[in-house]
Amino acid sequence: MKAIVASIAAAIAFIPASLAVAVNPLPAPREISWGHSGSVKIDRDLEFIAPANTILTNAIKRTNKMIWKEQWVPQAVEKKPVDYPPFPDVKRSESITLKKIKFSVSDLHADLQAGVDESYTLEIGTGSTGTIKSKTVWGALHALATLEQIVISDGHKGLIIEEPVTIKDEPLYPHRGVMLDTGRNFLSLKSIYRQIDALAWSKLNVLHWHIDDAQSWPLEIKAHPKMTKDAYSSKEIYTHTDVKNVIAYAKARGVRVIPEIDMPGHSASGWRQIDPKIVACGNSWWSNDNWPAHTAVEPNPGQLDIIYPKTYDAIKSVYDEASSIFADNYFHVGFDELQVGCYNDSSYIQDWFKADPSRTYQDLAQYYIDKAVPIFQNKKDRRLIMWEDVVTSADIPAKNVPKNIIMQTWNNGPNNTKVLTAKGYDVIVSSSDFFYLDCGFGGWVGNDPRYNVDYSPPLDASISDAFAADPTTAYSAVSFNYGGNGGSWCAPYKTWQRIYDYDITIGLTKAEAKHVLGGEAPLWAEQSDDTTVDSKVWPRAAALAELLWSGNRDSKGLKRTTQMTSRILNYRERLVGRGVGASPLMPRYCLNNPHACDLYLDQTAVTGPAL
Amino acid sequence: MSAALLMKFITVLAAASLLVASIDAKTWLLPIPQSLKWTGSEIPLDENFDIHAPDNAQAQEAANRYKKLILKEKWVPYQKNVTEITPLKKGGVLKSLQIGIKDLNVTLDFGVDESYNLTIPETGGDATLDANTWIGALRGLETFSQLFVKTDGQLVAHSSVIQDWPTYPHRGIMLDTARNFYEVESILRTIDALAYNKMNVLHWHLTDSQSWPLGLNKHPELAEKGAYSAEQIYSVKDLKKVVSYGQSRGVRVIPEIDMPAHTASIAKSHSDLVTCTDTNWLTNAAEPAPGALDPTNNHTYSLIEDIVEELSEIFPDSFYHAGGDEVSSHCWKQDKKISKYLKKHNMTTNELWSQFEDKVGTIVNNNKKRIMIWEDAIVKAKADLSKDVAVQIWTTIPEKIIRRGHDIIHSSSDYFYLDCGGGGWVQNDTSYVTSNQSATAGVSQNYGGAGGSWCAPYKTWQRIYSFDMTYNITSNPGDGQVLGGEAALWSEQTDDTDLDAKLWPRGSAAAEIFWSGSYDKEGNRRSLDDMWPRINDWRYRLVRRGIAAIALVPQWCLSAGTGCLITQ
Repeated sequence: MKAIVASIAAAIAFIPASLAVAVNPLPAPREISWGHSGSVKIDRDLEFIAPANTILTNAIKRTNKMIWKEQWVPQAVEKKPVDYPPFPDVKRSESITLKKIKFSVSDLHADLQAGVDESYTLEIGTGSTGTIKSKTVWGALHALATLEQIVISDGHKGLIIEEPVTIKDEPLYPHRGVMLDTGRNFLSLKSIYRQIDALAWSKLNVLHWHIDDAQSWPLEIKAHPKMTKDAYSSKEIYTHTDVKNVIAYAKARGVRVIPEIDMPGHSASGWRQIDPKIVACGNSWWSNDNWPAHTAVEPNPGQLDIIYPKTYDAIKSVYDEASSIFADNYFHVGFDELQVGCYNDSSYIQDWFKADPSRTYQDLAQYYIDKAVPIFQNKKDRRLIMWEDVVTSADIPAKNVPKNIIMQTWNNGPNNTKVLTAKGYDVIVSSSDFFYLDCGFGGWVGNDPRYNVDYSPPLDASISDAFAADPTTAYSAVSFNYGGNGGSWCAPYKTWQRIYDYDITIGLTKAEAKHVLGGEAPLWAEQSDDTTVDSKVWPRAAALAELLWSGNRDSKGLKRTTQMTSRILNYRERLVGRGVGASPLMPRYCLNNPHACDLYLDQTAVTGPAL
Repeated sequence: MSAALLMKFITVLAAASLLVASIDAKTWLLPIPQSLKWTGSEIPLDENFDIHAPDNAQAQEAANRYKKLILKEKWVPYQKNVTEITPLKKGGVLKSLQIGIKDLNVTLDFGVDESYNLTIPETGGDATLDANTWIGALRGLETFSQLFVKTDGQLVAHSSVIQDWPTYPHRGIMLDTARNFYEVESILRTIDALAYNKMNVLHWHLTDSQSWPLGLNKHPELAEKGAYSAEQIYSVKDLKKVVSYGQSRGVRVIPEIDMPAHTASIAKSHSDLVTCTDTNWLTNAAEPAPGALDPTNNHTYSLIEDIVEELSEIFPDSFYHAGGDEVSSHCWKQDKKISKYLKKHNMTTNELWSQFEDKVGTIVNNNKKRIMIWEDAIVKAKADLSKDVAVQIWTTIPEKIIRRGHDIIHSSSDYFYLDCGGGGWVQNDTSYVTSNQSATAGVSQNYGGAGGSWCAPYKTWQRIYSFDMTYNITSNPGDGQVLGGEAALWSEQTDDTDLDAKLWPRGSAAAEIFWSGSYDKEGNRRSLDDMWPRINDWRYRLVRRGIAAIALVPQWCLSAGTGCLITQ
C-alpha cells in the first residue's frame, strides 16, 4: 500500500493522476493509478464473470445497462488554470478491448451490517480481462459504482475506459449516510427509492430514516392501527410491505436502512392515538413568544410522559413491531431536544418531583433511560443510536448513559465530538454547522414580524466598531434580514465546499478519533417534500460521500477541494442524467472553463488546519 | 400546566369565539381580490356546466382551458379553516358562466385594462364575469377556478360577488436563461404559473457573459459560438412559441439583452467588440466571466441595432429591456484603445457609460419600443437619461429615481431576489474554512452569516410580503410612478431541476402585493395573518397544477389552526 502511494506521488510530478484522464470517479478512490498506454475499448458483449450471488448478479445487470444507456460524455474536466503551463496532451490510441471482467469475492455471505468490509480492487490492465476483487459482495458493488463512472462514450456509440487503471479502494469510515425526515412532510416511496439509488452511486451506505415526528405518524403499526390516523392522509402511510420493499431495494444496492423513532421528545402524533395520557403538552401553545413558558422548539409540542407507567407499554409494543420490520442491527431511538417546559403539563411528573424534592430533570432523564433502554435492547445484536442531547443537553441530560450507545452529534461542531469521544462513546458526526442540508431557507413559522423591516437597522456599536477595526474578525455587518440568518436557526445554507472542507476528527486524540464511526447529512423536512428532496440533498451529499470515503486531502495532506470541483460538477450532471434532480452548483460556463470560476487563482489557497 | 400557558389558552379561545360569528365560508384565493363578498352558499356544478365566452379567440381558448382545469382539479383544500365557519347554505346548481367583454379587440400590452367583475349567485343558475378586455376575462377565469372545491365528493363553487383590478400594471418574474439554460418546456410552465398568480410579465434575461442561447436569424454566429451547446439555443421558432403561449395567457414577454457589461459570450463570435474577456474576473466583473462591449467601436452599435431590430419583430411587447447593470470601469480602463478614447475626449468611464445608454436608448426608440434598464446607469454613472426610460430598481431607494421623473419597477434585492441564500458558487473559496471549525462570538460568514451569498439571507415569503410598495414613494409633479414589480431569479445556481421550487410559491407573495397592493381598499396594510392560510393552500394547489413549488411548512401546520405561528 505504501509503495503504491509513493509511485502515485512520483507520477504527480509529471502528470497529476487526476489530470491524466477526463473523468475521475466520485468519491475519489483511496488509491487510483491510471496507465498511459491508450484507452480501453469496452466490448459490446462485455462479460462479467462472477460467483453465483443474486445481489451481485442484479447489480452487474444494472451496471451493464447503465453504462450503455448513459454513454457518458464528461461534462466537467479538470484542467490547470489558464496561467499555468500548457496542459500535457496525452495521445491515446485504442490499445485493447475489454471483453471480460472477472469477479472474485472471498465471502459471499457477509451480511450488510455495520462495519462490513467494503473494500475492493478494480484492475483494467492491458489484457482483455479485467478483475474485481473484494472480500464481500458489498465491496464488489462499490467496484461496480466506480466502473459505471469511469466508462465513458467513445463518441461513436461505443464505450471506453480512457486508460488502463488500477484501483485499490476502501472507505475511511464505516458509517456514511443521509438522514431523511418523513415526519414533518411525507416523502413518496418513489422519492425514497431515488435517494437510495443516489446513495449507492455515491458509495454512501446508510439511509437514516427519521420516520415520524410530532407533526405526523406515517408508519403502519399493526398493534395500534389508530396511530396512522395521524398520518397526513390515508395515502401518506408506509405499510410493513412498503418498508420491507425499501429495505430490500436498499440492500440490493449496499445501503443499510436505519430507522429512527424519535422518543421521548418530538412525540405527539400517533402516540396520542394509543392513549392521550402518554403525551405531555400535546395541546399546548409552543410559546416561542413567551420563551420561559415554551414547550417545544418548533410547532407542534408533545413529549412522551416519562413517569406515566403506560408510556412504556406503548413504547414496547411500537418498538417491538418496528424492530421486527427493519433488518439493521442499528436502531435510532431519538432523544433530541427534550424541553423541560413541556413537563409542567404532566401531573405524573410534577407529582414525582414533589414526592422527593431532591429529584432533578437529570434524574427524570435517567428514569427514562433506565426504563426504556432495556426495552430497546431487545436482541443480542441490537445497537442503539441516540442524538447527543441525552449526554450533552444543558438542562435535561441523563446521568448515566450506557457507553455502547452511539451518539449522533449535531451541536457545537468539533467540540461536542471531542466531549463525546473523550467519554468513550462512538460518534456519528452530523454537525449542524456543516452537514445540515435544510439550513438557510429562512424561517417557516408564520406570523413572523421580524421580516417587516424596511431598512437595514444600524448595527450595535460594539459590532460596527469591531468590524471597522478589523473586517476579518468574527463580527460582520449583518442583521436579521441583511446578511444575517433570515429566520433559519442554522443559517447559512451549507455549500458543498463548506461540507467538504470539514475535518471531522479535528482536535481529537488518536484514541478519540477511533470512536468516530462516520457521518450523516440530515435533511430535516419542515420546508421540503417530494418537490425538492433531490435538489436539497444532491449533489451536496456527494461532497459528504467523498469526505467520508476517501477524505478531503491529497497525498501530501493538503485539502483537495479545488480538485474536487470538476468531479462534483461532472457528478451533478450524471445525477441529473440518471433521473435525480440535483441542484446546479454554478453556471454551466464554469464546467466548460475549469477554474475560470475560482475565487482564488492560487490552487493552494484552500488549506486546512494540519491534522 | 403553568399559569402563563393557561392564560394564553384563555385569550386564544376568547379570540376564536369572537371571530366565529363574522367568518363566512370561503375558498382560499390568491392574490386576494380588491373587493370580495362571500354570500354563503355552495353551488354544485351542473353536469352540463359550460363557460360561454364572446367572440374573442383568447377568451374562448381560456374558457375551455379553465373548464378543463376546474373539472380535473376537483380541489380539496389542504389548508383547513383557521376559525369556525358559518355553515354554508345549499344553493341551486351552477348552469353556466357567462362572460361579457366590452372591447373585443384589445392587444395585450403595458397598462391594458385587467379589471373584472365576477358574481356567483347564491341561488346558482348563471354566474357572470364581466370585463372590459379579454385579459380581464382571463384574470376573472383564474379567480373563478379558485372558487371551486370538492366537498363531500361534489364539486361546488362558493357564492360570491367580486370586483377586482390590479393595483400595479407591471407584475412579473425575471428569469435568467444565460447562467444556466432552461428547456422551453420550463419556460412555458413558468408562464402557466404566472397566469395562475395573475402576473402578467415574463422578463426574459436572455443572455449574459456565461452564455448566449439566443438564436437570431441575422446573427446566428452569436449562439453558434456563444451557447452552451447546439441543443441549448432558443431558435426564433422557440421564441415565438413562448411569446404566443404568453399571449394566450395574458402574459407579456419582455426580452432583455444585457449590455454593455455581462457580454463576454458575444466575444466568442465578435472578439473585436468585447473587451477584458481574458482578464481576472475579480478586478473586472461582478462574477466570472468578465467581458464588456467596447462602447468606442462603431461596429458595436451596428450589432446592437441588428439585435434590437430582430427582437423587436419577434417580441410584440412595447417594452424592451437593455440591461445596463454592473459595469466595471476597470474593465474598460484596462483596454488601451478605450483608455485612449477617454483621454482624447476627456471623458470618464461614467460619461462613456451614459453615452452608451443614450445611444442604445435611441436604437430602442427607433424600433418603437420603450426602454427599460437596470438602475445602475443612473445610480452609479449619474446618467441623465430620457425621462421615459423605465428603471428597474434592485439596490437603491426608489425615491431617488422617481424624483428624476423615471417610472420604476421594484425588484429590491433585499426582498425580491429569489436566488439569495444559496451560499457562494465560485470555487476554490477559502472562506468556508475556519481554523478551529467552531463558532465564534457574534455572527460570521459560516455561523448565522451570509455563507457566501452576497444577498443573503434567503427571502422567505413573509419577507417578500412585508415589502411596502408605497414606502418612500413621492408624487410631486414631474415624479415618476411605480409601474409595479418583479421577483428576479438569477440562475447561477438554478436550472430545470429546481426552477419551480425557487420561483414558487414565493413568487405568489410578490404577485399578491403587485396585484392587490400592500394596502387594502380601506387603507389597511395587508397582513401576514390573512395571507398565511391562503399561501399554504396555494402551494399545494400549484403542485397539483404541475408546478413543483417548494414546501413552506410541515403539512401538519395546514390543519393546526394557528399552531405554527411564531406569535399568536
